[in-house]
Amino acid sequence: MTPSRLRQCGALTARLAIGLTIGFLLHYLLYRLSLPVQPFIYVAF
Amino acid sequence: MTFPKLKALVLLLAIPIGFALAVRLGREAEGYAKPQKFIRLHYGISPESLYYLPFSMLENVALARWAPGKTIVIVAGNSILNGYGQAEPDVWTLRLQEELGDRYVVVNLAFRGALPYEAGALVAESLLRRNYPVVLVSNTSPGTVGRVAGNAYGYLYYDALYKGRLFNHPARDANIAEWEATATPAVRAEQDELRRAARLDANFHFQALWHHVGYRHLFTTWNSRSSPQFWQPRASAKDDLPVAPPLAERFRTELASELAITRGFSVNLAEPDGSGSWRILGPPAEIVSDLIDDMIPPKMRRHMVMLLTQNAPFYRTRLTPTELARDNLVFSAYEQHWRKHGIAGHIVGLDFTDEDYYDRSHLAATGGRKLARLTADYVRQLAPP
Repeated sequence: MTPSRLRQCGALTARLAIGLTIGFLLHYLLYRLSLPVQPFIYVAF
Repeated sequence: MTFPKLKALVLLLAIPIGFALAVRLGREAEGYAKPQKFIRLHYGISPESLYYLPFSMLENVALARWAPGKTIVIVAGNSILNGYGQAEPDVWTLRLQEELGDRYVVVNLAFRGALPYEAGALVAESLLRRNYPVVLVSNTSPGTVGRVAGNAYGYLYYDALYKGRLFNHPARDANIAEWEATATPAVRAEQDELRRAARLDANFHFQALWHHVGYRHLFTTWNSRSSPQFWQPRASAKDDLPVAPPLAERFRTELASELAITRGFSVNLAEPDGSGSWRILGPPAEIVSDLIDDMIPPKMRRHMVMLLTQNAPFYRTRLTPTELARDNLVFSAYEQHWRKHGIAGHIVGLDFTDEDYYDRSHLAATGGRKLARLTADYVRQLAPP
């Protein structure tokens, strides 16, 4: 595999990992938003 | 397709895939996630520290102990049955398990401040609906029933409701709708929010997954009770509920206010009958009657023991004879009231001593042992499930 092809594969893998992480974060966000406490904007991370 | 477009496409496709993976993990967590070596709900695993256990976790605690041939005894109710005042090894439900023996599995799902048919009680309903042999033990004071929704643990009602865990009981739905119609806009908005969250969770299963993560790995929400190390997994939280000090150090809170609370158990529930005695007031009894009918499905009632928990003699003996007569009348009348609805009501604490109490209402270890003996008898008296 040429170095440029290797870089492209790395970039695609990185996008895949970022996308999966964003998906998990959206799921986590539902949990945080639905905690029956103060409005989300006031909740300290 | 150009490479930048391909990268964007991979990113966009990976987002829903990641979300779907999380949903799948959440659905699986609903089947297994639960606190380990569970004895009771202490501060580390309760809403007081923002740990809002999902309904599935409570069910899993009970089901993990069950085996064919055994009856599950769910202990619901408030801090008195939670064992507030008893050290973890002395919690009264451990003694209840010893009294009842191997044919029963006792699970303490009492939440501090819960109403008699709230939170843990709904777990018993769910298990009965799924045909598990169940006995529900709960407690209250005369005149208190309340609703399954609208209080601190109302989120569990919506959680159970939208996951199809509860009996169809139209009177309950109608009662809650009627209550909401007359509630303030803020209360209505809060209930709407809880319902939306529960509906979303029924589809996306985020509560089970992230509470499991918070229990086993990392808790992500700051809160004052577990600050500064709020991120510690809740599995490492110790049961640090208060324990009764030596007798000489108890009952030191302000006598007048505690006596007022003791009087308050009966003051609005009876009136003088004109001949130097008392009679039960009609309207509060009717409200209690309606709430029992509306909140508790008929199928549950013959599986229930409702304990009417008395106050410590330190306070009761300081009532005037007239007040004491009213107190006795009210407790007896409401005990009968529960029985009229097919629920085994029992007054407990009348023969307990000051040593048995941690404070006005909560029990020390000796009181817990007495309560366990009494409750074991009441549970055995119920018809076999």
